[in-house]
Amino acid sequence: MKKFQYIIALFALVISMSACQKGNLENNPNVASSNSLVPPSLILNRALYGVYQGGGVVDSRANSVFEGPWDQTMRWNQYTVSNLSYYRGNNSYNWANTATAYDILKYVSKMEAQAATQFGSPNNVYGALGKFLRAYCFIWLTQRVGDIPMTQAGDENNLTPTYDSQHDVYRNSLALLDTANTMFGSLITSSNANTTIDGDIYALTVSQWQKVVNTYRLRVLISLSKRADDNADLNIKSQFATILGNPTKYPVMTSNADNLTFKFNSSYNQYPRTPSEPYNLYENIGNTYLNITTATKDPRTFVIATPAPAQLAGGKTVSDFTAYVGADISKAQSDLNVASNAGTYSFVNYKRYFASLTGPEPYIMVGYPEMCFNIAEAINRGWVTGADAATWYNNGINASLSFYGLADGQILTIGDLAGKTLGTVTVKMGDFLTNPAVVYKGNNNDGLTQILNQKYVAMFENSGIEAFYNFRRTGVPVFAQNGPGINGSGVIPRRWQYPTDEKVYNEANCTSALQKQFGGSDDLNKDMWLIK
Amino acid sequence: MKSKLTRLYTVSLLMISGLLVNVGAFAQTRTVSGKVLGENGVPVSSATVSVKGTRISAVADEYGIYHIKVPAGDATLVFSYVGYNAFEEKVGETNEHNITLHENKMQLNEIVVTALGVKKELKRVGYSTQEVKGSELTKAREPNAINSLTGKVAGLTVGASAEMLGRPQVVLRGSTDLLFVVDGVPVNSDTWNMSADDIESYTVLKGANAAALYGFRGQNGAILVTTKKGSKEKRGFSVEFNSSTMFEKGYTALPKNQTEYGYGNNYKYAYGNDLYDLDGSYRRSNIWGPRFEGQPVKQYDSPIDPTTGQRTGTPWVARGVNNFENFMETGLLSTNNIAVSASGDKYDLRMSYSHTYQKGMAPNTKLNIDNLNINTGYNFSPKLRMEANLNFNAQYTPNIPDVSYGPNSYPYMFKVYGSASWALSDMKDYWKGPTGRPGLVQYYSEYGRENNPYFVANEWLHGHYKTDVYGYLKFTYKVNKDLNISLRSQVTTWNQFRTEKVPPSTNLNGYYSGYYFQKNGPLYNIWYGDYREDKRMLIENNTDLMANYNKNLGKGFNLTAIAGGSLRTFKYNSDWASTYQLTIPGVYNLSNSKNPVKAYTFGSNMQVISGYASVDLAYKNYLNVSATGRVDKLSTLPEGQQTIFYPSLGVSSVISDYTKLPEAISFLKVRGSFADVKGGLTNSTIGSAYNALTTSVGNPQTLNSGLLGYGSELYTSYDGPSYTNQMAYNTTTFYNNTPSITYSNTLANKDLKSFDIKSYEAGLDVKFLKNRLGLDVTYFRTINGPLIYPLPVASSTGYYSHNVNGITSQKDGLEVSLVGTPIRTKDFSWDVMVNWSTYKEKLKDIYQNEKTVTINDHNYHIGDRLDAFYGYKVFRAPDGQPIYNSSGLLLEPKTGTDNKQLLGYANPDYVFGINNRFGYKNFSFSFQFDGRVGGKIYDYVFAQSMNSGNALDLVQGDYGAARLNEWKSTSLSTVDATPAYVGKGVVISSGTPVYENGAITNLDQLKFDKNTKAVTVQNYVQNSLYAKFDEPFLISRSYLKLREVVLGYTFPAEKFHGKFLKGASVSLVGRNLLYFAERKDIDLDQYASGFNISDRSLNSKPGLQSTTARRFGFNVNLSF
Repeated sequence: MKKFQYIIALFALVISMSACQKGNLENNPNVASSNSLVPPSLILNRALYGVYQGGGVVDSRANSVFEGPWDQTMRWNQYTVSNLSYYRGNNSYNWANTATAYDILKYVSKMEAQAATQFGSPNNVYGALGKFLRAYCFIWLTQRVGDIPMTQAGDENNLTPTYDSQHDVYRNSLALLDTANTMFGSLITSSNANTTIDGDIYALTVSQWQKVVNTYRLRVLISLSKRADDNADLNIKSQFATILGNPTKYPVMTSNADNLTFKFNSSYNQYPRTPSEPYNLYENIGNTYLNITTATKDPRTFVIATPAPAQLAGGKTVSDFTAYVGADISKAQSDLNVASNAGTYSFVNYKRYFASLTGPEPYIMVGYPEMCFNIAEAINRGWVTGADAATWYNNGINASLSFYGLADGQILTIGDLAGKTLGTVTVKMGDFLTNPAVVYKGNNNDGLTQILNQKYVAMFENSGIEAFYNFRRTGVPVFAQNGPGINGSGVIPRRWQYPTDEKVYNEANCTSALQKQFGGSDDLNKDMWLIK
Repeated sequence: MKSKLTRLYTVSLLMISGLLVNVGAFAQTRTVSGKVLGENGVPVSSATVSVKGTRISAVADEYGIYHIKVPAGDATLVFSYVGYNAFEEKVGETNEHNITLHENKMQLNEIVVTALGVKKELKRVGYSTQEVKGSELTKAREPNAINSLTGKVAGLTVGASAEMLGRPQVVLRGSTDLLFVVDGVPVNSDTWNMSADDIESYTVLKGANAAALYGFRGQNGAILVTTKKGSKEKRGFSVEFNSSTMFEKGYTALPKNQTEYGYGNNYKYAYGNDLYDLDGSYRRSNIWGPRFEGQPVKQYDSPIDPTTGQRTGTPWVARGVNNFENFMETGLLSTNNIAVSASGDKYDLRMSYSHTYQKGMAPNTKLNIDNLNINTGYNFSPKLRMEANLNFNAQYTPNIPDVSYGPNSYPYMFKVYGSASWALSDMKDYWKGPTGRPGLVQYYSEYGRENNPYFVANEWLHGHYKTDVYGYLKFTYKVNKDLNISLRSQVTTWNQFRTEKVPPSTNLNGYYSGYYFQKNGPLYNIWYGDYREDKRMLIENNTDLMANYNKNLGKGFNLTAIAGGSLRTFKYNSDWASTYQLTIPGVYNLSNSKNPVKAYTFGSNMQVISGYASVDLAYKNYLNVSATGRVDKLSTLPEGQQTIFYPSLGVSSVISDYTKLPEAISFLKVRGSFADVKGGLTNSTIGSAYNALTTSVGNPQTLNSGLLGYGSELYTSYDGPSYTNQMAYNTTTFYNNTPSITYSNTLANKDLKSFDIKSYEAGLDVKFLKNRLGLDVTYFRTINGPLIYPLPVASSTGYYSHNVNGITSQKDGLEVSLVGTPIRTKDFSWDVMVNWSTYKEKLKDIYQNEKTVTINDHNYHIGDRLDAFYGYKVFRAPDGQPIYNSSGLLLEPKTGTDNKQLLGYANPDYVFGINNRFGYKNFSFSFQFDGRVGGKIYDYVFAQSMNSGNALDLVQGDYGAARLNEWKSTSLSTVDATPAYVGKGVVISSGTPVYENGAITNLDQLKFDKNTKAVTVQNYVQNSLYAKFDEPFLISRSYLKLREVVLGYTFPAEKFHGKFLKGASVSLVGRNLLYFAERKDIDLDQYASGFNISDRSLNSKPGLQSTTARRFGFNVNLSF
């Protein structure tokens, strides 16, 4: 009997040898825990990718919308119009709850903390970029909804941050941008000015980043034009003038080379339109854009659009501006589809935009041409004295033309929607630049409309939804609406509703913000402080 | 009546105690002997033989042989045994009486297997369990043992996957995370790692009450599998051979396509002059093209005029009306098993080998499964026994189909975008010119969306290789007749290796950047394909020490107590890697990558130290009380929260034993139980290393959504750490392969406690009419929560959720099973079994003071049914007519969370199964109907094939008439179509609609006119119906299936006397023979799960599935 017990004892011994695991089993062994040292460059990389993609897109959040070219936002800018919902989305401005860009804030906090620890001081380029990115993500959201959490936002220990008024969000953001400029100013030396920052996917030099900060600040200031007169504490006009008046302290962009752009590459980040993309027949160029460029004999017409097939069939030539016809986004998609099939509208220029994997152009987020028009607008509005609006207006036009590589006498090949060559046109720059509709009409309303129209044209397929925001603020150019294609009501909304998560999980603060601004209703058609 | 019952009970109680009773001897007696056999000719050892009206009885030995002393004169012998109908035989002159006993599923003294493999009398069990005999599932077979349980158990729904080697959805009381236990020990199971032929019985423990002793893994119940053990036959061995062959053909559900119109858009189509259509306008086209009327159309195989370079049109005819049917082949499922059982004085042994070969209906798909099972015991002494069990399972296949909405799957190629424009026979030589280049470019009718099906079948291969082993070694030491102690160590481990070879020129549909057909000057850029590997390994050890004490305390009291401890150690590792474009075509190796290989690894460790105890106290039949308790120290929970305790309590009483009831009621038992189970931060399944890694940092990405853009994520069984309560950085890349990170989106909670599931259950067992009819009713209530839940937070925090012990749901359900024997005569019998179950799950509580919780993009309020799902509905006038806008399209709904309307419920109202079994002499005939009633589901393939222009509906009725008129208006594609579809409904003629929460609130103030505006059918479908609405594609989830039919013949036992062959039976079998549903586009069977609280999935909008078919064949069972 005894011997059997030995067997059990041996078995028990074998088991006990094989068993217990030691050490911490709770922690995830596959990733770096929150208190690990993580290079700030990796965090910057993520934050900047988020800026290109648009609020919440990288995290696949509900209602997030990609902000790059040829997508939903560009239809809201009325540059393109979809005639088939399945392949090119809808035109309907059927807005509801917005996503947010607070993910950028989260990454910026982590980046700043890691950089401060690893470089021994918060005063470093990541700190400076952090200030810019903070301002960027707050302004991104406040433009969409109105008041938002800012001072208490991004705090892991405060799950119900209070809302700051839109006024305060702008005041604080402008201050952040000023600090960012100051930090860059103190960090830039002649030896590092032309170096790039590790983790910067946009590959700008340090001094170019400083220009981006100030150029972006000009955009923010001009976006406050409706509040320039009744909010003295914001010093909108004087801030604008100060920046423009002191290029040493506040350097701004000086050419397209300074543009904040996203560059495409063939292996990983291809241009949204490639040779394998076969749905060009379901998308047309919007008439909001083509009405401007064809009326002014703008050669950019030939660059971005194909002639409408029905116009060619009717005997017009490819160089006839009237052969380029935009689609009216307010029409029902079924009507657009029938008309497009009948050849009524221009398509996207396949030869330019579908020819390669890297695309014909980088995607501009903040660009020099827009800056020129923003400055021209400020001068036109009388914010800045001693500067010539016409010069900046023309700078903007020329910068945009050079972005497309256009020059007088250049011969452009015109193709159809599938890239089949139809003929050539010769660029007649004079016809455009000396067109009475283009020649600056002075610091008056007509001049302002010209500036705004040219800004709109220059922002074709770039700068997120700036084109829409400019229209919302100024009404120029006139966007097509009041048709069955624009949601049920025919009216383009003025704002987005607050995110569902804010309404449900930060309810008291969100409700109070709605009460203060819109009488309690999260109404898409009401104007926020910014544009009232 | 009562006395008979009591006697039966007494007899069996004695039997269970293992005591042989042979009471008294009368003066004048004689000895009668014989053999007691079961229907299958196997001896019924331990059968009780008694002399009617006396207390004389005897027990048959292990060979079924009995000897009983019978008083002189007339006597009647009563033969009985648990699980068999008692049989009476008059003793005449002869002294030898060989008896055959028939099985009865309604026996009162049924023994059931409970948690930890402990056997108990059913009447002493305070919770609901249901048992299915393994032998019932080995004839009309499924490729997978668990699939066969469909419809057999009330409350258990098994949704067999339509995919080869697909994991069935096993849903018990609405939960999918079930524990599989083999011979008392939990195993990690994909449901494929066991052979149905080795299984004696399946016992379903329905819910936490039954499975509380298994800890958190038993939170939703368990399926206990008891394997077959060594033989007790006289010869010392027996051999069983079971062979089943089934053919698969004849679709049960098949999406129907139109074959009138071909590729194209707006009734136009032309293949470009370029070889690959790169200059064409109709690449990646829909099926909205011209009607097949023999007119000349430029097609993929139309000739190119060498002088002009222009393609010349060829007749446009429906060349491929039955492409899908012609492509698919007859499937085959062949299972063969041989099992040898043996026993001797000190040992018992069973060795079994099964081989399953499955040939899929899709060409070049197959699956082999080898399963080796060895079960053995050795008695060192009467007190010490050693047992070992080993199950080895190998699954291997060079190619199984991969189905999702994408270019990798046949439903997509044939049913959504399959045009009749091309002929299947033309595609067999898939490398042929002019477009094909052997080994490099496939030949096909379009280059943009799809692939040549034969190219997919023979070149785009998905290999699967898995070895799965589990086994244990166990010592049991009988200290005395009341107490035994056992020590057991068990290992469950598997290794899985999956490969995907993506051949050159495969169309990945443009989802995955880098794959394209492009012309660079005169040269075509052809990409060279890809190679991917997915490796996963799991090893788990469970070691138990357990003491089992059983004592009759006298005066009717009986005590059973179990105490034990166990240690569970767990380790998992996985890799997923892919080339990023091959450099040499056809070399499938990770090193053959043009760009840096994309590779991910994920590993985890876990340990659970447990102590448990169970006490059963019985006082006669008046009251049985069973209490269990378990303590776990679980390494996944935060420090300080790791030790958790959970109890359960069960009570039962056999009322009929002490109360006089109406004569019709022969037995009545009531029972009730309560259990409280805790646990947390584990996942029941796991995806690829990429998916696991991103999930662990709270940002789940599937390969489909995050990396490849096509294919399906493979989830394997896991039961390991989720790591979701930690904030961490995960390395990744976003831009041009530069390094980047993501940081957790969920705030961790150091004070997070285990989840809590409380389960209440009450039930009764009633038998009527001398046990001819049995009814088992169970009512349950489960309070799920507070669960560990990532409650959303305001995104202004920078995060999207924080882990809390929040959200609680309440599930209430009813399960009924009815067993009856309407007819039983000497030669003919008819047994019926009906299972029926229902439950509803509602939101009971949210975190702290929250009133709503956002799940699946809807804000649920407390009290709401959680399986309610929301989407976009068509607006309707007060008289029910759809409202159109002025353009002839349906009035567009407002979008956003608050504007979605209730579309239906994902869970069925109830689930049922009906089994009928007829026996006539040696023939048996059985069939089963089962199904589900109620609930809604989005018919994805219908929606997609409507959008593509390919649904049969689009050439029928109003759509068909309008489409034909539109086609005629184009004069053979030469002019644009005149819109002809006028939607039946109204337009608003006066008044402005006011919208609130997505509904029009002032319908009564609006005036309506008939809609008269015509649009094209394509516009109506693509720009309105499909683009803006969910409602038109919802179908009922109700269905009814004739699940299985078995016609069997057992050769009479006497034929085999003294022969080598001891028994034989043959059966004709069929599965899934009839299917009834509202729309037969999809086989609803697969979608067993509705709302699932553990991952909050709703399963209301599934993707594509393979087409399912009927299966029929034959089964041969021989014993030697």
